Amino acid sequence: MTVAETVPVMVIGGFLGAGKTTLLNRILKTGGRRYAVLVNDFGSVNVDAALIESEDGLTKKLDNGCICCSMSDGVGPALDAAMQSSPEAVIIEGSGVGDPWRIAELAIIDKRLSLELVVTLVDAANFVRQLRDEMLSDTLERQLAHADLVVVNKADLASESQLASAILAVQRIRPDARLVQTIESVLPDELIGGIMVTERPSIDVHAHDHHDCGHDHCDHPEHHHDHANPHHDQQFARWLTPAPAALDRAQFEAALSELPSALLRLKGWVRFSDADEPFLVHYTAGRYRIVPANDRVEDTVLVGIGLPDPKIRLALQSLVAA
Amino acid sequence: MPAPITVFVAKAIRTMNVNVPLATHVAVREGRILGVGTLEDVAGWGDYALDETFKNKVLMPGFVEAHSHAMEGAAWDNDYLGFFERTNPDGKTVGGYKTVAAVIEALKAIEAEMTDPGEPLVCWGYDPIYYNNQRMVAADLDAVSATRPIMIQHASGHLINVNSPLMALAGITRETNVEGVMKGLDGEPTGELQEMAAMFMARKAINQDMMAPQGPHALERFVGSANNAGVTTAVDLGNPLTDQMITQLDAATARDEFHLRIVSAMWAAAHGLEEGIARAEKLRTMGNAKWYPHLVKIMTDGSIQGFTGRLKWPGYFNGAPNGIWNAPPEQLTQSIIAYHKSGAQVHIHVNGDQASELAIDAFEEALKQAPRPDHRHTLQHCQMANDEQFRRMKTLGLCVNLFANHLYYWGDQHYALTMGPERANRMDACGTALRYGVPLAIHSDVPVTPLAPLFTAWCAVNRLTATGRVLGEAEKISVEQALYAITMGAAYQLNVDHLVGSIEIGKFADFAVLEADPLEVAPVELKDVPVWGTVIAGVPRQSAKSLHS
Repeated sequence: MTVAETVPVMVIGGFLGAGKTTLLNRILKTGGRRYAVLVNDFGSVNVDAALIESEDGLTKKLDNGCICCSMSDGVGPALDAAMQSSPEAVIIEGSGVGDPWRIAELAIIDKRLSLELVVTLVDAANFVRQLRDEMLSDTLERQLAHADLVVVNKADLASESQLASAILAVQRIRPDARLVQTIESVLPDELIGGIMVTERPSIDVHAHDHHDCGHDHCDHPEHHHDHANPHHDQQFARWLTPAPAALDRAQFEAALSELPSALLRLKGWVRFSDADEPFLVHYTAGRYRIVPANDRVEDTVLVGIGLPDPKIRLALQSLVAA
Repeated sequence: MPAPITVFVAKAIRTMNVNVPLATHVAVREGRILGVGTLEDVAGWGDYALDETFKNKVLMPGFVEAHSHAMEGAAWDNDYLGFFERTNPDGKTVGGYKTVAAVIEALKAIEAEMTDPGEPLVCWGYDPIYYNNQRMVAADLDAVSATRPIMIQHASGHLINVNSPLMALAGITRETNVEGVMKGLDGEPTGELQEMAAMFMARKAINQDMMAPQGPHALERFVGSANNAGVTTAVDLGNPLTDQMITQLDAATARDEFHLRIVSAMWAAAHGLEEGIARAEKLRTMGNAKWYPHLVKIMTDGSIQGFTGRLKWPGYFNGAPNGIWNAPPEQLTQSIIAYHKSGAQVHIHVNGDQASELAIDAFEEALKQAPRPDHRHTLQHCQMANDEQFRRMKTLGLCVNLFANHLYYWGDQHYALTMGPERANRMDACGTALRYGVPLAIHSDVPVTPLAPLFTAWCAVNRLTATGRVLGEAEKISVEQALYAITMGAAYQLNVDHLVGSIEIGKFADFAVLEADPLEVAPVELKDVPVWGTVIAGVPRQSAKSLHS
């Protein structure tokens, strides 16, 4: 199905102190897109006062084109205010007790938007203690229920047993969770930013499956790692799959919806046998959209990132054999 | 020469003032009470004009509603579709539809009156809980109109029903895969929408702006509802009080002919903490004789009948998951402490017992850190508080405003579904509050339930549900206690008890004018005492309802 280009939305959930704001600011720093950021409280965004162009109580316009909107009147009105600045992407930081999926549904239902990624962070050192608080436990469990990715964050501040118990607790609540552990909310740029689209990798260098892009031999600019995070590389795998032939659209879409759940994000260009123009595929955690590619594309290629799973390579191969 | 004196004579004047509990004459000068007692008692102030308008009526202090919302006025811009009858600001009785078929017939009649074919038809107050949860579907509404967008808002606030044209406008189809869009066995959306996302999209499709500031027209309709009910002072409990709203409210209430005193509570969540504290401080220096913007409102949880109230163990009787917090508990606690320290009087929405516990804990900590006499912080709704919590409220000097109207409107559902028998019987525990000496008021939360303090008092006295079950004999209070709660009790919590709430020298000459004496009728008939209208600052106004009847 071909639809008009929509604005991708990322939703960040998690309790107080889990690292939502750190992740939000990290994405803003990564840059590359003109973001609209929806927050409960302006205080949570590291905005240099000198960057603020104007503000009216509910919105702050920054001189880099980004806009920051308060959700004190509700997420819907904040989103409407944000869309007036024609952002390239929207990030919504849920409240500490909010259910990120309730917000994500707005991105599913609103035709201007497409849901990109729902991330829920938990505080490795405090998660188990928080779960024991009967005022909190059900709220925290709900935040995990629909997350595309659960990030056990602040791994460096937790003892080994705290970290292990936090991971076990997440797995008990969400046995099927895609789960990673991080320090200072560091996630790969390809997962949280727009980089996979804006910087097309060279197909010559990447025409192989590589899920162990380690420090010693990594020379790919789009694979920069934050060295603060020692576990980073073992936790994420990356795939690059050329799709040179013109594909059958129906079979391709059928195969897309069958991709293994460990694959978090897949983006790239494809050609279909029934159209001359290339298309862009955006796939996140089982949701996908296929839109006409605006720029001329010589090669067709799909770039993926996810959790290591040997099934993914095969699945991608059968996807491009469609 | 002193201003002229008017002496009102009445069949009886129930003053709520222990020194002169029952009188026949009240003297008014410059809008204030100059004297109350017999004609002989009040005649000594000098020449007076005797006003006999009320010689066959009964006067009480104007009723004080300590939990209402001025949006009641705007609600009546749309048609009411409720199961129970209700009086609109124009004094007409509307609603009372006992079957879904009757609702649809009513909609057809409303639709037939509309002239602009593109104008959306929006109604409120629909509540399937009274129809055995029989669902309304898009086809039902399409039968009303297959072209005009129709939206039916449920009383709970958590659901709406829409017809096919509205779904088309909102882009809701069988492909819309969110939890809040209910679908039938055929995979098509049924037109029942739940949750924020789906409801927001539907409202947006017809440009319904829930946050639009209340215009003067809506405020005037709120005044009409108050006048119908004998209310002379009502709180607007939770208003962002932006600069624009402040200007509007100040201008509207400052007019001589404005026939209501309004106490405003700033909705804390509409502002950041520091900004909110500064705004509340500024608001405490503002106001006029009919406007008192000195309260702060904080929300904690949702509602019991919506299953969003926060409950302690063992939770909801039907096994529904626990409710939702409006903000992280520790943030709520910090906010309560910060507002307390700034000198604000906090009214806090707590429905479930876990929410009331959080508030009590937070106030205890606030008072340890910054002891303060006479703070009058008030727990609002507080429907599920247990015996221990009431004892702690007394210790901490907290007030409680209980949602007595719930006993009638949702009491049967609380008994069967939400709370189960024992906890339903101890809901809205007016008796316990008074036994422990916790300052008590009772309320309607209008527009959630109708504004009618005598009905609210009737609920607290009789504790009857809509099907006639008595909920909690031990929590009943006397007629005298209930009448006190809707006058002095409410005035005390709103911190205007030095101005209104009793007929006493020096207070405003604000009266409820009744056709019968509430202390002479049988307690079970308290709700049926007709209201003629109100007097504010000595100026009578007959209500639209009274004129109609």
